Amino acid sequence: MALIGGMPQHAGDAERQERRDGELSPDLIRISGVTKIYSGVVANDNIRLGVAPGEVVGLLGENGAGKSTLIAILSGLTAPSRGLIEVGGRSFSPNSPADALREGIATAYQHGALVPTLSVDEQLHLANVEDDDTIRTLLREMDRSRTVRELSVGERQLLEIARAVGRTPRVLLLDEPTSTLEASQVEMLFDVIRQRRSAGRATVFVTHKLGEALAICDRIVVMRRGAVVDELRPTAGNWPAGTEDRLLGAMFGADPGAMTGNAAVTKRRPGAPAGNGSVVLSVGRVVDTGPAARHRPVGVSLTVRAGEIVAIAGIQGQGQRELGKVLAGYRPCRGAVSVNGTALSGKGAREFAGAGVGYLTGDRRGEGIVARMSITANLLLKRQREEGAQRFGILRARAIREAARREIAAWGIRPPDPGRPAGTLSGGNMQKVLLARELVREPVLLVADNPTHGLDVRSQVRVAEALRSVANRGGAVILLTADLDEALRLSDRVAVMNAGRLSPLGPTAAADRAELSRWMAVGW
Amino acid sequence: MVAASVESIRETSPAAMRSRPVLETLVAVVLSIVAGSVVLLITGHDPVEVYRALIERAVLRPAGLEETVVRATPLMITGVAVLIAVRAGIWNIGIDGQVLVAALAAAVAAALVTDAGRPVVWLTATVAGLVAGAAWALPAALLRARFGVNEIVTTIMFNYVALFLTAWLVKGPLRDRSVVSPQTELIPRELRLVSLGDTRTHAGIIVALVLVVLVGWALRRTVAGLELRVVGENPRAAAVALIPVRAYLFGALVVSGAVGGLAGANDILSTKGTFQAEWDPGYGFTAFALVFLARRSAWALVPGALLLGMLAYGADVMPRAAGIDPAFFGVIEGTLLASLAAPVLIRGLLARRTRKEVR
Repeated sequence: MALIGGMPQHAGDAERQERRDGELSPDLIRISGVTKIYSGVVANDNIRLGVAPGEVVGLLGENGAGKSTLIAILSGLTAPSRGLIEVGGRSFSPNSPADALREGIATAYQHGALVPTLSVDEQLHLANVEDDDTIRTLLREMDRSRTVRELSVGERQLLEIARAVGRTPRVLLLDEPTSTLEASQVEMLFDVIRQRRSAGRATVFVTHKLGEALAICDRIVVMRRGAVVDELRPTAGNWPAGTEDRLLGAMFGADPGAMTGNAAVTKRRPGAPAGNGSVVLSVGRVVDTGPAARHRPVGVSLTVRAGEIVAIAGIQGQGQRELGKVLAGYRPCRGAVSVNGTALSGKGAREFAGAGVGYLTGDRRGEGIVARMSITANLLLKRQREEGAQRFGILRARAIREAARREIAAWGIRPPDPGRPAGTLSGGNMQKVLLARELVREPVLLVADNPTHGLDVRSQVRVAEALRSVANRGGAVILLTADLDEALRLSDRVAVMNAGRLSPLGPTAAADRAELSRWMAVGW
Repeated sequence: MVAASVESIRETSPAAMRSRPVLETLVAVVLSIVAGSVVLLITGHDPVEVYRALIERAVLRPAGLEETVVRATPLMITGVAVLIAVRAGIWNIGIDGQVLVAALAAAVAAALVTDAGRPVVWLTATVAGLVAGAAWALPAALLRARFGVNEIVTTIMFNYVALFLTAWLVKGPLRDRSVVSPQTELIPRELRLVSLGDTRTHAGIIVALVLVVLVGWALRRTVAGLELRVVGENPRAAAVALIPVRAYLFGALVVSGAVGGLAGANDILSTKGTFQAEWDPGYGFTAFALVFLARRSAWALVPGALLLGMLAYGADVMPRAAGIDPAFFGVIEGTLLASLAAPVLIRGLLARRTRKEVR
């Protein structure tokens, strides 16, 4: 893959060279020792970063690396726990985005707040934006009399960007600006960034797309787990050879062995079916037909056997969540899906569950736990219509209470108080509740969507054990995860999802970590 | 909507999960009494005397207690109707319309069978009320479950349709020509619900209490009740837990309408006896007030309805007895709801008290 060689040589090279020569210009923004802690979690760890006039800084990193937190701090949405920010040499501690705007820092958010009933022109007028060259460049293909409601997702994103750009800020912060843009729209955005560069105005460009960062940025800063881990500049207008590998290594972590300390508990039991068992899940050319999604799964084919864990790794929003819902019957699809030989195409979640499919949601609080109901009730859900739980439609209170007490003890749910509202539990204990409720049904196939996301290490190990126990019992597991290391650590076979397509599936033991991380970022 | 803000705060705040509902509600009641006292002082009344007179007339005197219970009965029934919808996460603002349509249906149906004796009259009117109430909620339920149309808007609209439709029917096709004022044929007193002993309190209160117990039990102890509550608390989690969410939204609104209709039939069979044109008791909003006073608990509807029934009777009797404007009781009800809607304020008051106790 010759990504670097194929990079468009952009028009800014000459300017970039010029700026490089005038290195003396002082930084517009200087961040020193900025740390942000959200209820015990370090989101930004001692960040040190400067942005010079006219510079285009790319902020690269996977989801949860801390990019958005840093943007939130700079744009005045949240205050750092520690550290100093200077703008134009003066200390800067904004209380609101309006404060930041007065200092010449404007932000285009990933999910902007536009007024659906206003036209494009009205929206710009409302934001006090002058109709200048940059705006005309950005909106050149847009009918500006249309209302926001009538715009496509990409056009809305462009308008959100225009609203920020139009204030001609000294520093423009763009948070994942291209996630919903088409290629031609990305070009318009890049034209505007180049105009800003010529005018000596700085741009901070947050992305997890390598190619775009390399195409437009004068400097790329890589964040990982809240810290700045690498920083690269092109030499004489070109990125040095091996830049791409170096960035990937920095983004996803260079050492896949770093987290294997708990590997022993998650390995296959000797003598277990080992993936040579019967076919549990068979998926043929499935196309997701559910409600709109950023990337919907397209043309997915897959076979999963009893006793194995198949991991599907991918950056958030590439269609894994939708695939998980398709495979559990919660989203409709075209194509063939069968479980243990039962054809389930066109069937709903109830039929899938009846065929033995379990589903562990990736949105624990949103669609897993019922926060105001007790742990007991949450443990019961999905089984409330089964024999043991009811008779003639009346709940068997004692049996339900006893089952809850057993599960709480078996899973070590803390605090062990069956009547406590489940919404007060920690993330790890919520996940235990949801896992308990799936595993007690002894699924032949368990679809687990980012099951360890946001959990502490102990809970992560507990979840990993649970997944392996399903496989060891002769079931199959599909593990959808944004964490490549986790995919490699826990699975027997692994594939990558990018833009709704599923990569070839291969044995984890033979997987090339570097190649998979490249697939995650740019496809294959 | 005031009530909506109560819900959203309780839904999101972890602190709310540790709340003490009974204590908080009592604090709200006390706050509203204090606020009422201020109003009384400003208007030149002695608050102690006014409250004493209210308690004496509406609770301590047997005749007054009967009136309080009579006024509490339809509130209790419509409270159950609102509760069923609210626990499923939907807003049946159409109680008033359902009551009207059901009352008219009950009055007309009962008048048709007056020769068949008491039990038949009761049964006919009750069934007519239930069916008419359910039918009046049906369009809103279908639109909500099938197309996601906001039930608040549709149920409110149907209130107006019900008000004018029933008025027209009573003034036109269904009018009893033998009396001057537009109304349906009067059901003789001896065919209506029996009184409890030698009082004005009628068997309707028994129906209301049985309904409260039945619905309270069903919500807690049946699969359908559990599933309905899950739909109300978190519809997305309900869908993941294999619960047919749309069916529950539909069912809850239709059943809520049927129970609202029961309140209409009850009024015809007890105090009214006939449907008069432009009769509009307006139980709906009081029923919402009641449900939030009761903190969405079925059992608590009983004391809540008695309290509101007492205020309603107070508004009737106090102007004559103590020269208090009926609007005063609206003030009490309003401040009561306002303080219930400010749980943060109440929790602040309680927290300060607790800290003092600890020291």
